[in-house]
Amino acid sequence: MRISIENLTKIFPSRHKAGENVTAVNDMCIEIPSGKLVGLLGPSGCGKSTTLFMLSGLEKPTSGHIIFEDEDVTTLAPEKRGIGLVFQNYALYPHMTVEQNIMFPLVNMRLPKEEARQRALEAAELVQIEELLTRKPSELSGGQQQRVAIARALVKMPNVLLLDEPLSNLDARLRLQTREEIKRIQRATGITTVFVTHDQEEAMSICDQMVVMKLGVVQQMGEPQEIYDNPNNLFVANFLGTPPINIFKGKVENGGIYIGDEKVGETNVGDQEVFIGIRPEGFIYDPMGALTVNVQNVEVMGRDKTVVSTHPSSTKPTIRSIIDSDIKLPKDALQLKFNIKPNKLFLFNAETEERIYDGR
Amino acid sequence: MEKSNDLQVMNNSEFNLDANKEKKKEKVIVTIRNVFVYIFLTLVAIFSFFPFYWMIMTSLKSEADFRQAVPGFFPRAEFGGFQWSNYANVLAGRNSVFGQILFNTVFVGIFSTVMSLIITILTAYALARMNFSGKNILFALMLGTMMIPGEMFTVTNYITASRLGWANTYVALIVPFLVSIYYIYLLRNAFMQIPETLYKAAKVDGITDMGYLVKVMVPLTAPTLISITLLKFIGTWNSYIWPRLINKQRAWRLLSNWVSGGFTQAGSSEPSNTLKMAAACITSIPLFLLFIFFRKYIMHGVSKSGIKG
Amino acid sequence: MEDKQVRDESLAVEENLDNQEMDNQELDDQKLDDQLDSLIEEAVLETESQKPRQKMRLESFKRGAYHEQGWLFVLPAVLLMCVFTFYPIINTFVSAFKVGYKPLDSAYELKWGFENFVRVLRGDTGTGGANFARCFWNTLAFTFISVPVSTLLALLISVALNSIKVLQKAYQTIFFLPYLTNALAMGAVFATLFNVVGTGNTVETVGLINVLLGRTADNYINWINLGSDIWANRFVVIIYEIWSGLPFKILILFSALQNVNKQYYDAAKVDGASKSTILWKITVPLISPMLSYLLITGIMGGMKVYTAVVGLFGESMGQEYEVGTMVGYLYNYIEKGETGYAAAGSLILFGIIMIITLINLYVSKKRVHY
Repeated sequence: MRISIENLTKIFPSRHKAGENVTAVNDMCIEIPSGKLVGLLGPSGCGKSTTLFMLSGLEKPTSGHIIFEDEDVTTLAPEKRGIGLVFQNYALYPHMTVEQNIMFPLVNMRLPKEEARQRALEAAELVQIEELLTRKPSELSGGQQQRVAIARALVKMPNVLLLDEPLSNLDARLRLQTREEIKRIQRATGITTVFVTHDQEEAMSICDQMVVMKLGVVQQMGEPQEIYDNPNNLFVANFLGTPPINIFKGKVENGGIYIGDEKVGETNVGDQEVFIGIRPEGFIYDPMGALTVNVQNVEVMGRDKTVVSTHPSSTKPTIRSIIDSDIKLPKDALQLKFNIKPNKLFLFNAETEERIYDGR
Repeated sequence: MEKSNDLQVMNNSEFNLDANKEKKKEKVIVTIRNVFVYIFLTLVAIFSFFPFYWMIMTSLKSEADFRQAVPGFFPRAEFGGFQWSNYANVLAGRNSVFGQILFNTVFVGIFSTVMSLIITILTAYALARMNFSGKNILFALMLGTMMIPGEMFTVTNYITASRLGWANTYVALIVPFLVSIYYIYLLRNAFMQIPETLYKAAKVDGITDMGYLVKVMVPLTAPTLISITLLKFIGTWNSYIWPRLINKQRAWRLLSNWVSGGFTQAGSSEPSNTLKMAAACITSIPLFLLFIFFRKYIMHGVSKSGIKG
Repeated sequence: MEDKQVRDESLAVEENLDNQEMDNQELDDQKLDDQLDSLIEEAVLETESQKPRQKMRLESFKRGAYHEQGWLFVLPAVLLMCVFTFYPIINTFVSAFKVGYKPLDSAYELKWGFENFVRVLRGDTGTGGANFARCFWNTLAFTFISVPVSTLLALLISVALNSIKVLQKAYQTIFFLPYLTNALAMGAVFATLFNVVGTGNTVETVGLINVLLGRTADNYINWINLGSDIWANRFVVIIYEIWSGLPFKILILFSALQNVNKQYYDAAKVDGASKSTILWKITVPLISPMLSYLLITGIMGGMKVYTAVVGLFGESMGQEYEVGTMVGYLYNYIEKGETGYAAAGSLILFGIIMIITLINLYVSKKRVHY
């Protein structure tokens, strides 16, 4: 099921000031391809959950349209949209057994009891909880509850599966496992899946497509690697990647990119003040390198090491540079020099913070 | 424990001797105190339980036994022993309205409990989960009336019910008490504890508002609903003044009215204490049974609402 | 404040009844709130940059649009309340000022004034039966003796109960037995305990209580029979009120005690406090909100005592309302069709209850420790 979101806007009245309104989602236009796993990513308060609830039909958009394949579902009730929704806190009915929970949507569809039971069993098998069917939600671990919630969403064979922060209530170990699980289930069923997360690592690891949002506005959409490699603006560049991108104030002069007085690269954009973003993995140690940093310490991680340093032009307190652990650094050096990989360096307009693309 | 004590003895024997003495002294004090505590509690237990015991025993005594100068703690054999016939006399014979009275009480009890439960659920649901204009004003009005003693309503309700021609009917016993603001308030609070996400989940699962109420809200608040049911039924069982006021005919009254009346042995005009106690037993036993089977729910409701049944 | 605490209290009382579910739900609620908050946060973030476009009601944001069908749900209750709750309140106020108002008699002359109140207070209603002053003093005597005594007793019982382990549950159950009773039936039982029975002028038995006090037919105390002293009557009612009032108070205080953080006791022990110091200086102040709640509800309930007295003394509350109570007084006039007096009397009762509530509120604000 292909989903088109056209000029979707949601305005809430402000809780703090009477008469004031706040825009949770602003003129959103995206197209979600059929059968893909798509992540809505952004910091807390970016409107991603609101978008998801509008897709589910629980929230009514202020304006704009939601189109499933060719049908406009903007005003359609949730139960008529053919969606499955997994809530952040799972919202399992505490008085029903796992089986009754999973069967609940089917019972409401007035399916014969036997068929409902059969389908509930299939859904339970898909998420591997068939041995828990007689238990109550309170007797399950967080991960198991999550699976029940997914099974309940899947049992009516939805065209679209929506997940709201599906991993946020799980502990770290379970989170890794469950995110593989979600990926597996999505692959197995081929259902168009939209999920909301504020964790960029989570999104990048399982998404086919990613939508980065900020303050209700879509910043960029695309494959995770594509966005990581080609961020549209400073926000997106900053939001993706651990450790985060290093940002310097700098300038372009006569085709040279300058941080302070040091020329770290070349470009063909015109002379101007810029923000220069350099990914941590974009540094190459070179005693004769272009950029000089003041070393604070070196963290050895085994597989690689991180040089933590400072630079007067950096907009952040420290700069992190990841280099291969084989590379020998001079002991107790106060300063180190690096060359910068051109494909790991991005220029942003100093005022709009939009990406300045190389003309080449 | 022992070992460490020995070690201490070697190091500082004098101090330890003192500590041992203290310990012994404390032990004696604790024991004495415990004895007093148990004596006290036992006395209170006797105080609590004795009226029930006396009621049962008196109900089984013969009239002669009861009228002995020194009362016995059991029905005594020389005065006829256990008089089970007291119960037969109360239930049948001259006091034969009992069958009708019991039917009245059970009928009014069940009917008003069911109706009241439906009204309470609907109202509590709307107050907890729906938005309609004037809701807050309505709720505030309802809470406000909780301050007012019920006797203030009785004055007018007596006139209203009389004018409506409800005197000596079941309607008079049921309708004026169908709405209990206490119960609505209690259930509304229970409903409010159910998370809103469940409602959203149910919406996605394709259920109507009514279906959600019946399939999710009601089962989840079952303990509160059971408490309300019990308290309402007990309320009818114990209601006295209203039936006395509005239903002047004995045949339309309830159990409390019956038990408050006089009972006489066949062939005597003297009020009989033993028969009265038999009637009191008959009135109390169902309450006892309810208490035994539903202790948890009753205590739950009582402590939540702080009201009597 | 008291109200909230009682509810907190109840969570402990209900034991495992539905704790698990409720816990989950509260947790969920919490999360939901967080979610909502973040939603609102995100909304707020926008306020600065976004011009208001459309005015919407706050409620509709939280719960979706207004559902006027809510009125359909509350309709039965509202209709019934209009007839049997709201109208009576208004009507009581109105008819209290209608002099000589007898709605069930067809003809009466409409006259307004305070005469009903004056006559009720002066005991000059000219209809015989209950006397307001006597009923008023009886009610005060019952309430202001039985409520403090039973509250104090309940406190001691709860403390004792809290200090034992063996048989605790058994005692607790026995103490709760008098809660679920029929006041008419149990009043009759108490009457039997105090009753002096005989034929003609011969006393046959002086009743169990007299016997236990070592009294005989020659020197028995006349508790409730013809010609008995009003204070003997009141004593019997007070004993009954204590007996029937204890269970609820023990239930509340015992669970309050169980909820007191044990650290306070440990700290007091370290500070060298004795057992009685701990009780009066630590425990009682900590559960003082519960004590004040019990006093308020106890006194308000006491003001309405009625059925127990009928159980003890019969429908005429003695020969001619000697042991009458304020509520008994009202019913007497309702039965006689003297609505004006009944309405005025019920307003006076309402006023007294309001005054007591306000005094209680004032006192508990000063005395209750938190």
